[in-house]
Amino acid sequence: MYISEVLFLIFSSAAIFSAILVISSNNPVHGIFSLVLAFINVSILFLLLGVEFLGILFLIVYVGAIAILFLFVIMMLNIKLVELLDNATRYLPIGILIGIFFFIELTILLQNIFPSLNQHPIVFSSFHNIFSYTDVLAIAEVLYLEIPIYIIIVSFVLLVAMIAGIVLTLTHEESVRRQDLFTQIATDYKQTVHLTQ
Amino acid sequence: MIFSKFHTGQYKQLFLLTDIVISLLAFTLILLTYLYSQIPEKIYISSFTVDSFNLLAKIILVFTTLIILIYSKDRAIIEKKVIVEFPILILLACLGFLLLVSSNEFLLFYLSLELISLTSYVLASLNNKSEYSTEAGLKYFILGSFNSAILLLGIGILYSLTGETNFTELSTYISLASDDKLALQVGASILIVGVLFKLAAAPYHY
Repeated sequence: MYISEVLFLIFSSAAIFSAILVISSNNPVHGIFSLVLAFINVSILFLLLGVEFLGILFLIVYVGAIAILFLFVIMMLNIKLVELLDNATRYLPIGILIGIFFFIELTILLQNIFPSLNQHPIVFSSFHNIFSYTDVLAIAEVLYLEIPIYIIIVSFVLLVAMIAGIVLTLTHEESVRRQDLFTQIATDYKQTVHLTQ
Repeated sequence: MIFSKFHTGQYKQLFLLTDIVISLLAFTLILLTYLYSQIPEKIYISSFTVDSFNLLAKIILVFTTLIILIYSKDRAIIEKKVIVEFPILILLACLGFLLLVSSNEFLLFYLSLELISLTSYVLASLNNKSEYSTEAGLKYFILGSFNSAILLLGIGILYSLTGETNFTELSTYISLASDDKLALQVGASILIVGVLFKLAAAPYHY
């Protein structure tokens, strides 16, 4: 048994365990924390499969942004603890049935498409050539050497989105006295200094 | 025009910005006409083309933007609310049009079209106190995003059939291809539907 296979088994079972925790925990905040744990495990699985850029992207986007957003929303909404036991027992048999059907379908499909999966175990590539041509390097070469103009245009599109957010939501009330930077900068001494007698 | 007591600075800011933008556009127009008189043949950088036809279209676009900005100088003041970003939005839309004119690849085409559409959504819903303006902006935004999806579907079909996003290589491929003409026609017609939607042209003008 390869060491990468052992790691794969550990992290995939941890991912499944934390995914079960997400739907079975009573407190929604604990559910979000186990969701974060599941995302971290999945990104480690991506690293093991040799797609390190996607793994890091998962970590940044899902853990860094989306899960924290969920956490904020749940903390703001003040949801009460759900009654779990009723619904779980009621929908358990049909859930198990659908799960079994899906599993059988997927196994048949995978055996038809990839018949070699049975004979050879999956050998993970990342451990054998760590110092070779990486994923990030390939993507960066395409992005910054072949199509740099697209990055510039995308940055302009993001600028437009930012300006749109400011224009459509910012309202200046007449009654509120605020600092007007432009007038402060644009004044000259003729307007401010008066000669009194 | 009645100058509000508190917003005098903003009026000044808007007019100064508009003047700067207009002078920049005039300078660009002069440069473009000089380039148009100088250009011998097609300059071609894989996804970005510059030839005399492109330059003529760009001259017309920049001239039109100039005229629009000169005549809509006080249009950016809606119910005493000064929208300082108005000339910037117009300028960004102009940039999108210029990129669209000289694009030679589907990715650049789509990105510049998105730049134009995003600025137009904002310009449509600029008066956020009025119900009509907000409704128009929302409808335009929803239809525009739907239409972008159709456009991307057409581009995706063409890409899946030919493996090319470059216009020149796509045209050579289509002229040489003998089989799979029907699928190519389907992809091209979906693409045309998307472009007509964006243009608000004949069958999709509602």
